[in-house]
Amino acid sequence: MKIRHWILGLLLVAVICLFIKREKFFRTMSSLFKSQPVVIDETPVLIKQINDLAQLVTISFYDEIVMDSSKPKNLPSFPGLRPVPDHIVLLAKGTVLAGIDLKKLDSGKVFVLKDSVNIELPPAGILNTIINPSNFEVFDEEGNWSANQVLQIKQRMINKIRQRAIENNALSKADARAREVLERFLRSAGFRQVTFNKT
Amino acid sequence: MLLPACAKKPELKEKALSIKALSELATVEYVVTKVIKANDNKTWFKPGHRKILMSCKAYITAGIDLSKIKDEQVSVDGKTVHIVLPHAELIALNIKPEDVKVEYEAVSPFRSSFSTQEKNEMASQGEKNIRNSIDSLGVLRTAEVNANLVVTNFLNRLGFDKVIISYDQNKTPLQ
Repeated sequence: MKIRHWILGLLLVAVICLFIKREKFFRTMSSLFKSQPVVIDETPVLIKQINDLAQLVTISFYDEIVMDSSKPKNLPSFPGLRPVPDHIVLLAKGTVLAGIDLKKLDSGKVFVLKDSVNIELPPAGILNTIINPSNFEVFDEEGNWSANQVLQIKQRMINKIRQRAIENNALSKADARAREVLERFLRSAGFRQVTFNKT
Repeated sequence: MLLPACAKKPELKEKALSIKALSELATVEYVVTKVIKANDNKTWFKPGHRKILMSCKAYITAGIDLSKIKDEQVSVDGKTVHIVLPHAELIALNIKPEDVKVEYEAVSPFRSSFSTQEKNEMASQGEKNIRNSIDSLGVLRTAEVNANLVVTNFLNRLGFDKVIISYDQNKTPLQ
Protein backbone atom coordinates (compact mmCIF):
# COMPACT_ATOMS: atom_id res chain seq x y z
CA MET A 1 0.00 0.00 0.00
CA LYS A 2 2.79 2.40 1.04
CA ILE A 3 4.82 1.56 -2.07
CA ARG A 4 1.83 2.30 -4.29
CA HIS A 5 1.43 5.69 -2.64
CA TRP A 6 5.11 6.43 -3.20
CA ILE A 7 4.88 5.46 -6.87
CA LEU A 8 1.77 7.58 -7.37
CA GLY A 9 3.45 10.53 -5.67
CA LEU A 10 6.57 10.19 -7.82
CA LEU A 11 4.45 9.95 -10.97
CA LEU A 12 2.59 13.11 -9.99
CA VAL A 13 5.86 14.99 -9.39
CA ALA A 14 7.18 13.73 -12.76
CA VAL A 15 4.03 14.92 -14.56
CA ILE A 16 4.27 18.35 -12.92
CA CYS A 17 7.98 18.65 -13.84
CA LEU A 18 7.23 17.64 -17.41
CA PHE A 19 4.42 20.18 -17.61
CA ILE A 20 6.64 23.00 -16.28
CA LYS A 21 9.40 22.03 -18.70
CA ARG A 22 6.97 21.98 -21.62
CA GLU A 23 5.59 25.38 -20.60
CA LYS A 24 9.11 26.79 -20.54
CA PHE A 25 9.86 25.12 -23.85
CA PHE A 26 6.78 26.62 -25.51
CA ARG A 27 7.52 30.00 -23.99
CA THR A 28 11.07 29.87 -25.38
CA MET A 29 9.76 28.78 -28.77
CA SER A 30 7.13 31.52 -28.88
CA SER A 31 9.71 34.16 -27.94
CA LEU A 32 11.97 32.78 -30.67
CA PHE A 33 9.26 33.46 -33.25
CA LYS A 34 8.26 36.84 -31.84
CA SER A 35 8.88 39.93 -34.00
CA GLN A 36 11.41 42.32 -32.51
CA PRO A 37 9.99 45.80 -31.82
CA VAL A 38 11.19 48.61 -34.06
CA VAL A 39 13.41 50.87 -31.96
CA ILE A 40 14.43 54.27 -33.28
CA ASP A 41 18.08 55.32 -33.36
CA GLU A 42 19.50 57.99 -31.06
CA THR A 43 19.47 61.36 -32.85
CA PRO A 44 19.97 64.85 -31.43
CA VAL A 45 17.17 67.30 -30.66
CA LEU A 46 17.89 70.61 -32.39
CA ILE A 47 16.59 74.00 -31.29
CA LYS A 48 15.09 75.88 -34.24
CA GLN A 49 13.50 78.84 -32.51
CA ILE A 50 12.89 80.34 -29.08
CA ASN A 51 9.79 82.47 -28.64
CA ASP A 52 9.09 84.69 -25.64
CA LEU A 53 5.60 84.22 -24.26
CA ALA A 54 3.43 85.88 -21.65
CA GLN A 55 0.41 83.62 -21.54
CA LEU A 56 -1.67 82.97 -18.49
CA VAL A 57 -2.88 79.39 -18.91
CA THR A 58 -5.92 79.00 -16.71
CA ILE A 59 -7.93 76.03 -17.98
CA SER A 60 -6.95 72.58 -19.15
CA PHE A 61 -9.65 70.56 -20.88
CA TYR A 62 -8.94 66.84 -21.23
CA ASP A 63 -10.96 64.82 -23.69
CA GLU A 64 -11.01 61.45 -25.44
CA ILE A 65 -12.44 60.95 -28.89
CA VAL A 66 -12.85 58.22 -31.45
CA MET A 67 -12.95 58.77 -35.19
CA ASP A 68 -13.25 56.29 -37.99
CA SER A 69 -13.09 56.57 -41.72
CA SER A 70 -13.59 54.23 -44.65
CA LYS A 71 -12.93 54.31 -48.38
CA PRO A 72 -13.81 51.94 -51.21
CA LYS A 73 -11.17 49.38 -52.16
CA ASN A 74 -9.46 50.01 -55.45
CA LEU A 75 -10.66 46.68 -56.87
CA PRO A 76 -13.23 45.81 -59.57
CA SER A 77 -16.61 44.81 -58.13
CA PHE A 78 -18.84 42.14 -59.60
CA PRO A 79 -22.65 41.96 -59.34
CA GLY A 80 -23.48 40.64 -55.87
CA LEU A 81 -19.84 40.60 -54.84
CA ARG A 82 -18.42 43.88 -53.65
CA PRO A 83 -15.03 44.15 -51.87
CA VAL A 84 -15.20 45.21 -48.21
CA PRO A 85 -14.13 48.89 -47.98
CA ASP A 86 -10.86 49.85 -46.28
CA HIS A 87 -11.38 51.32 -42.85
CA ILE A 88 -9.43 52.83 -39.99
CA VAL A 89 -10.41 53.65 -36.40
CA LEU A 90 -8.34 56.08 -34.35
CA LEU A 91 -8.56 56.91 -30.65
CA ALA A 92 -7.10 60.12 -29.28
CA LYS A 93 -6.61 61.66 -25.87
CA GLY A 94 -6.26 65.39 -26.17
CA THR A 95 -5.70 68.42 -24.00
CA VAL A 96 -6.90 71.91 -24.78
CA LEU A 97 -5.23 74.77 -22.93
CA ALA A 98 -7.08 78.06 -22.66
CA GLY A 99 -6.18 81.35 -21.07
CA ILE A 100 -5.23 84.92 -21.84
CA ASP A 101 -2.31 86.44 -23.68
CA LEU A 102 -0.78 89.02 -21.36
CA LYS A 103 1.17 90.52 -24.30
CA LYS A 104 -2.12 92.11 -25.35
CA LEU A 105 -2.27 93.87 -22.00
CA ASP A 106 -0.48 97.14 -22.71
CA SER A 107 0.11 99.90 -20.18
CA GLY A 108 -2.95 101.86 -21.40
CA LYS A 109 -5.15 99.09 -20.05
CA VAL A 110 -3.92 99.21 -16.47
CA PHE A 111 -5.24 102.00 -14.22
CA VAL A 112 -3.82 102.39 -10.72
CA LEU A 113 -5.11 104.80 -8.08
CA LYS A 114 -3.58 104.39 -4.61
CA ASP A 115 -4.48 100.85 -3.54
CA SER A 116 -7.03 100.30 -6.33
CA VAL A 117 -6.32 98.79 -9.71
CA ASN A 118 -8.51 98.43 -12.77
CA ILE A 119 -7.39 96.21 -15.64
CA GLU A 120 -8.89 95.79 -19.09
CA LEU A 121 -8.25 92.11 -19.66
CA PRO A 122 -7.98 90.69 -23.16
CA PRO A 123 -10.55 87.93 -23.83
CA ALA A 124 -9.56 84.33 -23.16
CA GLY A 125 -8.66 82.17 -26.13
CA ILE A 126 -7.54 78.65 -26.96
CA LEU A 127 -3.77 78.70 -26.55
CA ASN A 128 -2.90 75.12 -27.42
CA THR A 129 -4.63 71.95 -28.59
CA ILE A 130 -2.41 68.99 -27.91
CA ILE A 131 -2.68 65.46 -29.24
CA ASN A 132 0.83 64.07 -29.34
CA PRO A 133 1.80 60.84 -31.15
CA SER A 134 1.64 58.94 -27.83
CA ASN A 135 -1.94 60.16 -27.39
CA PHE A 136 -3.08 58.53 -30.65
CA GLU A 137 -3.97 54.88 -30.87
CA VAL A 138 -4.78 53.02 -34.06
CA PHE A 139 -7.59 50.76 -32.86
CA ASP A 140 -8.23 49.12 -36.22
CA GLU A 141 -6.62 49.49 -39.64
CA GLU A 142 -7.73 47.66 -42.75
CA GLY A 143 -6.27 48.40 -46.18
CA ASN A 144 -3.69 50.89 -47.30
CA TRP A 145 -3.91 54.34 -45.70
CA SER A 146 -1.56 57.03 -46.92
CA ALA A 147 0.13 59.42 -44.47
CA ASN A 148 -1.94 62.26 -45.90
CA GLN A 149 -5.24 60.43 -45.36
CA VAL A 150 -4.32 59.64 -41.74
CA LEU A 151 -3.20 63.24 -41.24
CA GLN A 152 -6.62 64.49 -42.39
CA ILE A 153 -8.36 62.27 -39.82
CA LYS A 154 -5.99 63.41 -37.04
CA GLN A 155 -6.60 67.07 -37.92
CA ARG A 156 -10.35 66.47 -37.81
CA MET A 157 -9.88 64.97 -34.34
CA ILE A 158 -7.92 68.01 -33.15
CA ASN A 159 -10.61 70.34 -34.47
CA LYS A 160 -13.30 68.24 -32.79
CA ILE A 161 -11.55 68.30 -29.41
CA ARG A 162 -11.06 72.08 -29.67
CA GLN A 163 -14.73 72.51 -30.64
CA ARG A 164 -15.89 70.36 -27.73
CA ALA A 165 -13.80 72.42 -25.32
CA ILE A 166 -15.45 75.60 -26.62
CA GLU A 167 -18.90 73.98 -26.38
CA ASN A 168 -18.11 73.07 -22.77
CA ASN A 169 -17.53 76.77 -21.99
CA ALA A 170 -13.75 76.44 -21.76
CA LEU A 171 -13.31 80.10 -22.76
CA SER A 172 -15.68 81.60 -20.20
CA LYS A 173 -14.17 79.35 -17.53
CA ALA A 174 -10.66 80.41 -18.58
CA ASP A 175 -11.74 84.02 -18.42
CA ALA A 176 -13.19 83.68 -14.92
CA ARG A 177 -10.17 81.74 -13.70
CA ALA A 178 -7.76 84.37 -15.14
CA ARG A 179 -9.52 87.07 -13.12
CA GLU A 180 -9.34 84.89 -10.02
CA VAL A 181 -5.59 84.23 -10.45
CA LEU A 182 -4.74 87.87 -11.19
CA GLU A 183 -6.90 89.17 -8.37
CA ARG A 184 -5.14 86.89 -5.89
CA PHE A 185 -1.74 87.99 -7.22
CA LEU A 186 -2.64 91.68 -7.11
CA ARG A 187 -4.07 91.43 -3.58
CA SER A 188 -0.86 89.80 -2.40
CA ALA A 189 0.99 92.76 -3.98
CA GLY A 190 -0.96 95.10 -1.70
CA PHE A 191 -3.96 96.19 -3.78
CA ARG A 192 -7.17 96.24 -1.80
CA GLN A 193 -9.58 96.88 -4.64
CA VAL A 194 -9.17 94.97 -7.89
CA THR A 195 -11.58 95.33 -10.79
CA PHE A 196 -11.51 94.00 -14.32
CA ASN A 197 -13.08 95.22 -17.54
CA LYS A 198 -13.39 93.13 -20.66
CA THR A 199 -11.70 94.57 -23.76
CA MET B 1 -11.91 60.48 -50.76
CA LEU B 2 -12.56 59.72 -47.12
CA LEU B 3 -16.06 58.69 -46.16
CA PRO B 4 -17.07 58.78 -42.50
CA ALA B 5 -18.43 55.39 -41.53
CA CYS B 6 -21.52 54.92 -39.43
CA ALA B 7 -20.68 51.47 -38.07
CA LYS B 8 -21.75 50.86 -34.46
CA LYS B 9 -18.84 50.52 -32.04
CA PRO B 10 -20.35 50.26 -28.57
CA GLU B 11 -16.98 49.64 -26.89
CA LEU B 12 -15.54 52.96 -28.09
CA LYS B 13 -17.49 55.60 -26.24
CA GLU B 14 -16.47 59.23 -26.39
CA LYS B 15 -16.50 61.17 -23.19
CA ALA B 16 -15.38 64.56 -22.03
CA LEU B 17 -13.24 63.67 -19.08
CA SER B 18 -12.20 66.71 -17.13
CA ILE B 19 -11.74 70.42 -16.90
CA LYS B 20 -8.89 71.48 -14.62
CA ALA B 21 -8.20 74.96 -13.30
CA LEU B 22 -4.60 76.13 -13.78
CA SER B 23 -2.54 79.18 -12.89
CA GLU B 24 0.43 78.74 -15.20
CA LEU B 25 2.31 81.71 -16.58
CA ALA B 26 3.87 80.42 -19.83
CA THR B 27 6.97 82.46 -20.57
CA VAL B 28 8.86 80.56 -23.24
CA GLU B 29 8.25 78.35 -26.25
CA TYR B 30 11.05 76.30 -27.76
CA VAL B 31 10.58 74.99 -31.29
CA VAL B 32 12.75 71.90 -31.70
CA THR B 33 13.25 69.33 -34.43
CA LYS B 34 14.33 65.72 -34.42
CA VAL B 35 15.05 63.11 -37.06
CA ILE B 36 13.42 59.77 -36.32
CA LYS B 37 15.20 56.90 -38.06
CA ALA B 38 14.76 53.19 -37.72
CA ASN B 39 15.84 50.01 -39.46
CA ASP B 40 13.58 47.02 -38.96
CA ASN B 41 15.99 44.14 -39.61
CA LYS B 42 16.28 42.56 -36.16
CA THR B 43 13.72 39.75 -36.62
CA TRP B 44 15.62 36.72 -37.95
CA PHE B 45 12.70 34.99 -39.68
CA LYS B 46 11.66 38.06 -41.68
CA PRO B 47 13.81 38.30 -44.80
CA GLY B 48 14.96 41.70 -46.01
CA HIS B 49 14.61 45.00 -44.20
CA ARG B 50 12.42 48.04 -43.76
CA LYS B 51 13.98 51.46 -43.30
CA ILE B 52 12.27 54.67 -42.42
CA LEU B 53 13.34 58.26 -41.91
CA MET B 54 10.88 60.74 -40.41
CA SER B 55 11.23 64.35 -39.34
CA CYS B 56 9.36 65.83 -36.44
CA LYS B 57 8.90 69.29 -34.99
CA ALA B 58 7.84 69.92 -31.39
CA TYR B 59 6.73 72.97 -29.43
CA ILE B 60 7.84 73.00 -25.79
CA THR B 61 6.15 75.52 -23.51
CA ALA B 62 7.43 76.24 -20.01
CA GLY B 63 6.74 78.75 -17.29
CA ILE B 64 5.90 79.17 -13.64
CA ASP B 65 2.90 78.15 -11.59
CA LEU B 66 1.46 81.28 -10.00
CA SER B 67 -0.66 79.25 -7.58
CA LYS B 68 2.55 78.23 -5.79
CA ILE B 69 3.25 81.82 -4.75
CA LYS B 70 2.16 82.17 -1.13
CA ASP B 71 1.09 85.50 0.35
CA GLU B 72 4.19 85.60 2.55
CA GLN B 73 6.38 85.31 -0.56
CA VAL B 74 5.34 88.79 -1.72
CA SER B 75 6.48 91.75 0.36
CA VAL B 76 5.82 95.38 -0.46
CA ASP B 77 7.75 98.35 0.88
CA GLY B 78 6.50 101.57 -0.67
CA LYS B 79 7.36 101.44 -4.38
CA THR B 80 9.54 98.36 -3.94
CA VAL B 81 8.23 94.82 -4.20
CA HIS B 82 10.10 91.61 -3.44
CA ILE B 83 8.63 88.42 -4.81
CA VAL B 84 9.74 84.80 -4.49
CA LEU B 85 8.77 82.84 -7.59
CA PRO B 86 8.49 79.06 -7.86
CA HIS B 87 10.93 77.33 -10.20
CA ALA B 88 9.89 76.91 -13.82
CA GLU B 89 8.24 73.75 -15.04
CA LEU B 90 7.11 72.21 -18.29
CA ILE B 91 3.62 73.33 -19.25
CA ALA B 92 3.14 71.60 -22.59
CA LEU B 93 4.86 69.54 -25.24
CA ASN B 94 3.01 69.71 -28.51
CA ILE B 95 3.83 67.67 -31.61
CA LYS B 96 1.25 68.50 -34.25
CA PRO B 97 0.33 65.64 -36.62
CA GLU B 98 1.29 67.77 -39.64
CA ASP B 99 4.78 68.23 -38.17
CA VAL B 100 5.56 64.50 -38.28
CA LYS B 101 6.58 63.71 -41.85
CA VAL B 102 7.88 60.57 -43.52
CA GLU B 103 10.91 61.71 -45.52
CA TYR B 104 12.13 58.34 -46.77
CA GLU B 105 10.91 54.76 -46.65
CA ALA B 106 12.54 51.67 -48.17
CA VAL B 107 10.91 48.24 -47.94
CA SER B 108 12.35 44.94 -49.22
CA PRO B 109 10.18 42.95 -51.66
CA PHE B 110 9.13 40.36 -49.04
CA ARG B 111 8.15 42.86 -46.39
CA SER B 112 5.04 44.97 -45.91
CA SER B 113 5.34 48.72 -45.57
CA PHE B 114 5.12 50.38 -42.13
CA SER B 115 1.55 50.57 -40.85
CA THR B 116 0.00 53.70 -39.37
CA GLN B 117 0.32 52.12 -35.92
CA GLU B 118 4.04 51.41 -36.40
CA LYS B 119 4.73 54.94 -37.63
CA ASN B 120 2.80 56.30 -34.68
CA GLU B 121 4.81 54.15 -32.26
CA MET B 122 8.09 55.42 -33.70
CA ALA B 123 6.85 59.01 -33.44
CA SER B 124 5.92 58.26 -29.79
CA GLN B 125 9.49 57.11 -29.15
CA GLY B 126 10.71 60.39 -30.68
CA GLU B 127 8.30 62.30 -28.44
CA LYS B 128 9.71 60.49 -25.39
CA ASN B 129 13.28 61.39 -26.44
CA ILE B 130 12.30 65.06 -26.83
CA ARG B 131 10.62 65.03 -23.40
CA ASN B 132 13.76 63.54 -21.86
CA SER B 133 15.97 66.21 -23.46
CA ILE B 134 14.04 69.19 -22.05
CA ASP B 135 16.50 69.64 -19.15
CA SER B 136 19.55 69.63 -21.40
CA LEU B 137 17.97 72.12 -23.84
CA GLY B 138 17.81 74.74 -21.07
CA VAL B 139 14.08 75.33 -21.52
CA LEU B 140 13.39 75.77 -17.81
CA ARG B 141 16.32 78.14 -17.31
CA THR B 142 15.07 80.37 -20.16
CA ALA B 143 11.54 80.16 -18.77
CA GLU B 144 12.77 81.57 -15.45
CA VAL B 145 14.74 84.39 -17.13
CA ASN B 146 11.63 85.32 -19.13
CA ALA B 147 9.41 85.01 -16.05
CA ASN B 148 11.59 87.66 -14.38
CA LEU B 149 10.92 90.01 -17.31
CA VAL B 150 7.18 89.33 -17.54
CA VAL B 151 6.59 89.73 -13.80
CA THR B 152 8.84 92.81 -13.58
CA ASN B 153 7.08 94.51 -16.52
CA PHE B 154 3.68 93.72 -15.07
CA LEU B 155 4.57 95.05 -11.63
CA ASN B 156 6.19 98.16 -13.17
CA ARG B 157 2.89 98.89 -14.92
CA LEU B 158 1.19 98.64 -11.57
CA GLY B 159 3.38 101.46 -10.27
CA PHE B 160 6.26 99.65 -8.59
CA ASP B 161 9.63 101.29 -9.32
CA LYS B 162 11.79 98.48 -8.02
CA VAL B 163 11.00 94.79 -8.44
CA ILE B 164 13.23 92.23 -6.74
CA ILE B 165 12.71 88.65 -7.85
CA SER B 166 14.20 85.55 -6.30
CA TYR B 167 13.39 81.87 -6.62
CA ASP B 168 12.05 79.46 -4.05
CA GLN B 169 15.08 77.97 -2.28
CA ASN B 170 13.10 75.07 -0.82
CA LYS B 171 12.64 73.52 -4.23
CA THR B 172 15.45 71.88 -6.15
CA PRO B 173 17.20 74.51 -8.26
CA LEU B 174 17.55 73.90 -11.98
CA GLN B 175 20.64 72.16 -13.30
